[in-house]
Amino acid sequence: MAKIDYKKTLREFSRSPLGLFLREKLNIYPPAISLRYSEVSSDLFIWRDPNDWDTYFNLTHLGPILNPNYQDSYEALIEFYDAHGKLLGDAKVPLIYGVNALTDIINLSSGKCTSGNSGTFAVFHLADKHAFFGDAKICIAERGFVSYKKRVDQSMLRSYAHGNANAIAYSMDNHKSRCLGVLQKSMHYFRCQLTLQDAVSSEIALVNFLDTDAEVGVYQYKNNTKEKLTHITIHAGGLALLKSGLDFDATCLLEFESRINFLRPVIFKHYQNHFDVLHG
Amino acid sequence: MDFYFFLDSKNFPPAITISGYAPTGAGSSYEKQVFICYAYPKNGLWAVRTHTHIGNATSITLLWSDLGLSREEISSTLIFLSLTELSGDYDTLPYITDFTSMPSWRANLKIIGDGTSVSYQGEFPYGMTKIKGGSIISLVPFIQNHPTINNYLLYASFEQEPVHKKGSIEFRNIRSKQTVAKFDIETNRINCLDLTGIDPGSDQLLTIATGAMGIPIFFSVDEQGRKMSLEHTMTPSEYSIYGEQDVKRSIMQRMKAYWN
Repeated sequence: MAKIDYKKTLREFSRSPLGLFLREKLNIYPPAISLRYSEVSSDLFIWRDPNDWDTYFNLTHLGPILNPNYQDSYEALIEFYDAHGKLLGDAKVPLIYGVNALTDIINLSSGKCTSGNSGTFAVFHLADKHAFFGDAKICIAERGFVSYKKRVDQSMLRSYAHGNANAIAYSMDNHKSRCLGVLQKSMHYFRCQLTLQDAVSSEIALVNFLDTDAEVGVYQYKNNTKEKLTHITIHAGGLALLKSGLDFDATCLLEFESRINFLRPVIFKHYQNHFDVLHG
Repeated sequence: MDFYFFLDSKNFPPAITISGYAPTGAGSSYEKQVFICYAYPKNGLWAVRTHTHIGNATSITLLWSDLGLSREEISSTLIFLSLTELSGDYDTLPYITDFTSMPSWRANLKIIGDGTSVSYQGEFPYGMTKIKGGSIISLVPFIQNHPTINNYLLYASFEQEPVHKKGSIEFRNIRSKQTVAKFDIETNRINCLDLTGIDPGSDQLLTIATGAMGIPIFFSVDEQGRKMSLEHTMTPSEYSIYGEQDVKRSIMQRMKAYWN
């Protein structure tokens, strides 16, 4: 008689839809996010101050990579948020099979993303999920790509970054969006595996994808000693922007402590002639 | 374990910043020193060497020239971490059980320009080196058509066997299904492909790589090398979430059958 591998069975169950549901409800090894099958998910991409930056997104019909036989047009819903996570407005854009629609996010917001501010936006694919996946229990996720230009550069070149996390979901049933992050039982830590000291200056953007405010401790390691730099509160669905020189020392290793699973920052490194944008 | 590679774009020096600490978890990852090792194909074997060591809470930036290898060898070199010094010639790539984390233990893979740099946090997972041949399909939103911008695909492909096997990568127009360009590629190197002449306009392109499993990374740079962009594509499976593995697999098989 074949032996039952209890460890493997338990692991597989913990990752099943029922297992994920129970982990969240019972708060035992809660999953990073909580998504329902009636929802579509998106990252919370960052739009930057239109005074200084242009922000773009490549809107793409996902048929070619999820089901190439599904070639009907469908709409994408773009929701715009401010840095406090408040919904500013939305826009719908038709997605046509085989078209790569480079979209100016600030123009698309029709004045909602205003100068002097920054925030986030989400891209939801309002596709007929059944046409994509049949009866399979699976959700569509938008993972990128956002790109930026600095106005002062007067350059034709955009700098790209992909999506980071399944941060927010839109329900096809009740037509509402909600943040997906699950408040973790214990503190989680994220350390950037890179150095910032080669740049003239750097900015670190942190997005809270919990549906409650998040307390974030920012630490630095200098000569193997950990010291607390600051403590910030990021509103639900909100954005915090930290600047080198003001908020952290670019020569140090940085660590973020919070009850968000996977608080991975977006980093802007500013050099003499241009900039780099990447996930930390 | 994960490997790291130099983004060899021929005209600009690549660098790697590698860290002795994990991205997540409380406290230090390792109390001991961490060795920076590398492997490159030489005479039908992987030549494995140790470059240096670092402290557990530090990072080091390696310029391509630091290893004393030729540019050709550098484009085939994998960097990795080890808790012991390694030196020797191997039939297959070393497997180190340490330095695993969720998310992956990444390094900063960088290209240095004139008064600027561009990078991403990347890795080449050990599991991917076990796939012989293989194919990968991705959407390509990155080509920036302008007379002053040059676009390149840096296709990173590594396999266990220490030889260079042939493969190809094709750019396909999704609407017309026509092939707009096709390049020869090889395993165990960064294939730097000049995309001059590929002008998709607003059409969506797809890349289909066959015979060499890898990571498509797109690099755009202005004529002076002063402004740059770098990003890798997502695999199609990353555009969906949840679903049983067999369901996801069947979606991928249907998609590959359509495009191949």
